[in-house]
Amino acid sequence: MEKLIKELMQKVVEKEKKTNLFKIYQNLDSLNFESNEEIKTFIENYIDIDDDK
Amino acid sequence: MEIDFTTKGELITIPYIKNGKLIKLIGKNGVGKSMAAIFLELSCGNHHFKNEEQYKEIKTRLKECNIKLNSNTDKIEVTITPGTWIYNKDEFKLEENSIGFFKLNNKRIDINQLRDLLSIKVIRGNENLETQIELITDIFMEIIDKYLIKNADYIEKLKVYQKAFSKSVNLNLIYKYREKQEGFAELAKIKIENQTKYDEVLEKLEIAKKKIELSEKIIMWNENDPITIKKEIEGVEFDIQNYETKYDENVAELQKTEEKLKDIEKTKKKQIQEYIEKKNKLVKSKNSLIKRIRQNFPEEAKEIMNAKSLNLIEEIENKKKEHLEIIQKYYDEEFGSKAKFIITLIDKIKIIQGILDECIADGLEDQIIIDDFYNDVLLKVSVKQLKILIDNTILSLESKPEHISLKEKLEELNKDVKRKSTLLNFMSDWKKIIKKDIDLNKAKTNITDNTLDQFIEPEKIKQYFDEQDSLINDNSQIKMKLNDFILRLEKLNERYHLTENLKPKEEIFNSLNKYYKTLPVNFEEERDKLLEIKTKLEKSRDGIEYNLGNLKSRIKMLEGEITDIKSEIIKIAKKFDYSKLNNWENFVLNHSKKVQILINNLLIPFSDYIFIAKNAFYDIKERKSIRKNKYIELISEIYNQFFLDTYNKPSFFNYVFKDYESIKDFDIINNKINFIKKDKTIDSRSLSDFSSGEKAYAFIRAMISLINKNAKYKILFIDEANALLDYIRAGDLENLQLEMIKNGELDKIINIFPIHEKPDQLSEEFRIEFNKYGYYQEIIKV
Repeated sequence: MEKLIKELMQKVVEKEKKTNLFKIYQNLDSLNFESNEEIKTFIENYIDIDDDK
Repeated sequence: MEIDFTTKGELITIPYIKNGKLIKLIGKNGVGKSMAAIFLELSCGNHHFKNEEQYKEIKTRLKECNIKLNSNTDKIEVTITPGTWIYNKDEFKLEENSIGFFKLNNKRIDINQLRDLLSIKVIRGNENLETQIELITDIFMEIIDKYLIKNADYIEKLKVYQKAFSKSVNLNLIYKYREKQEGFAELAKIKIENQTKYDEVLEKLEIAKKKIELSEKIIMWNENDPITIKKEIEGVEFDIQNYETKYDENVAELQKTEEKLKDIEKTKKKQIQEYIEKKNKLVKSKNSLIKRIRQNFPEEAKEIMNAKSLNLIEEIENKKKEHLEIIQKYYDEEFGSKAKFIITLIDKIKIIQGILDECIADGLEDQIIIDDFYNDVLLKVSVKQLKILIDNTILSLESKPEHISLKEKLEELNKDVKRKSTLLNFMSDWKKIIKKDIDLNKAKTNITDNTLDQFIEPEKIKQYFDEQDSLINDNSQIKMKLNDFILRLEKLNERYHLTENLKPKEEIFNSLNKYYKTLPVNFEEERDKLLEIKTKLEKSRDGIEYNLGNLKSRIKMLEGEITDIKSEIIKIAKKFDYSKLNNWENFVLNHSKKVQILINNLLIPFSDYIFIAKNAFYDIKERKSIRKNKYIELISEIYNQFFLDTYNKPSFFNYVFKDYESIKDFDIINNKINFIKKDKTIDSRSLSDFSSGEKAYAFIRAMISLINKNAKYKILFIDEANALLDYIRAGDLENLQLEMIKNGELDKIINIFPIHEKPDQLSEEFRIEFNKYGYYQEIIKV
């Protein structure tokens, strides 16, 4: 069921053409954002400045 | 895992569930078997109330339920507190944060942490394949909720992170630095623009000034041509000469007129003097006459004095004359010629007497004046003798009585006549005085009224005065004109020399040709136009000068501010091991922007998308129109996938839909299952077409496989759900449970059954247990 919802969300973001969001979505489960360092690393690794659209 | 229940209130639950993986819990009705399952399901937020009435009933009748789930490693404690419950009418569920409180190993945990630990599912006998759609929809929605919550949590954490990051790197300072730099660049740009404009204006101003200078020289040449000015000077000099002559003539004429007027003034003075003299004399005469009248005619005086007009005087005078005439008439009548004769005779003799007295006085008394014969008698008479004779004769005549009487009467009459005559004389004198007085008063009026001209040729005097005024006016006009001419002459003389120091006109034109393609026709107009341009340019220049000054000081100030901010930023950057300001600035701004992007462009839209998807699940559950949802195709696909994954497994399919070869797909929109028959044809069946047993069996099998596999402890209650199943399917179901326990898909399965046997037919162990609790538990060996 979880897997199905994940697939659904994947398709939804694809439909919305949020490619980077898909990358985030893929990493969403493993993230906890427990520390500022974790957040910083995530942002630097996954967020492009060009996503400002 | 053993489960203990402590329930307060009207509702009751069984006290405990034994430690064991597969349990049959058999008991009589009303001991709280199902209620225990409900409370456990409710504690994880999974329980759906049938309706609001059921919710209200449980909330009213239950005071509190404490459930302890103890494994070898974990002690989970759940306390349900109906007093805090909030009912979600749309989802027939409790709001998750209102359920109660939870502990893990005596430490408080929240509902999400509890869900990570526990997954409780209750399969009830009244549920079937159709309700399964609702249940899996709920599960889908729960999963989506989990993502929504997680996403909201990310957003919240990112916002906190963003705030902390901004503070730690002093983001505002960098913004300020950027802002100041932009401001500096903008000011520098404006300064350059202003400087360029300033240079242009100065250049234009210089050209305008030069053109004005040259135009003015041309104008000066045009206005001050020495030949023309010379002619003008001559003309003005001629005019001055004429006007001076005219002025002299006028002055002479004016003197004459003034002398005439002085004469007239003299005459006027003389007249006044004469009037005063006459008046004084008249007053004197009048007073004297009045005195005499009063003395001599006191009775008539008042009447006479009151007569101030000639008419009145004449009237009185006529009366007096008439009176005198009457007296004289009376005299004539009363005293005849005889009486008059004697008196006349006496009067005549007295004349002779008088003559004789004169002769005697002259020493002629002895002179013989008669020496002749009279009637033959020689008469020889001297003056003296004759005088004596005359005196005697008079005495003789006068001594006669009739004469004396007559004389007395006559004297009396004469006295009266004389008085009347005197009075008339006075009247005549009074009349003259009054007339003179009237005349003098008229004269005085004329003099005092300054209407002297009435006495002496008024028209001429007026003319004199007019002439005098005209001449004075003319003179001042001439004088002004003369002054004008003199001034003009002075200016002309000045102008005559103006061009002496100028360059020749041709040279100026040559200079002008540098600035004009075609020289102006009218240099005055051109000069005026240029002066306006010059004024505007000067204003513009002053404005730009002011701006430049202002800009310079602002730039200087900004430079100082930027330096200060820069050193402050570098200090912070060094703490983060950044040595170059640019790198630090780029990192901070980019990172901050990335956080914004993550929040605003990614996570918030992501929440919006999955919220829309959740709405579609909600509509599916409520059997509302779902075709409009933009993700319906995608959602329909996951339902299909679920069906295929769940029911197409041979181990499942062979038990549930064994008449078909396979499931082609599940159509959630139309609530149909499309089967592929063994002859490869397609059979489409609505869920409602299946038998109760089929649906229940399919449902139970499916539900068992739907337990949240992510939770640490997965517990399933099958509450009288297999009542509809035949013995074959019931056996299949038991095998399935064993299989799932063995492969770890589930941790504990509790099958709840009503008791059908009599308690005395139970084994001793179960009978004791049943008698004590109203139910007994059989642990199936796995």
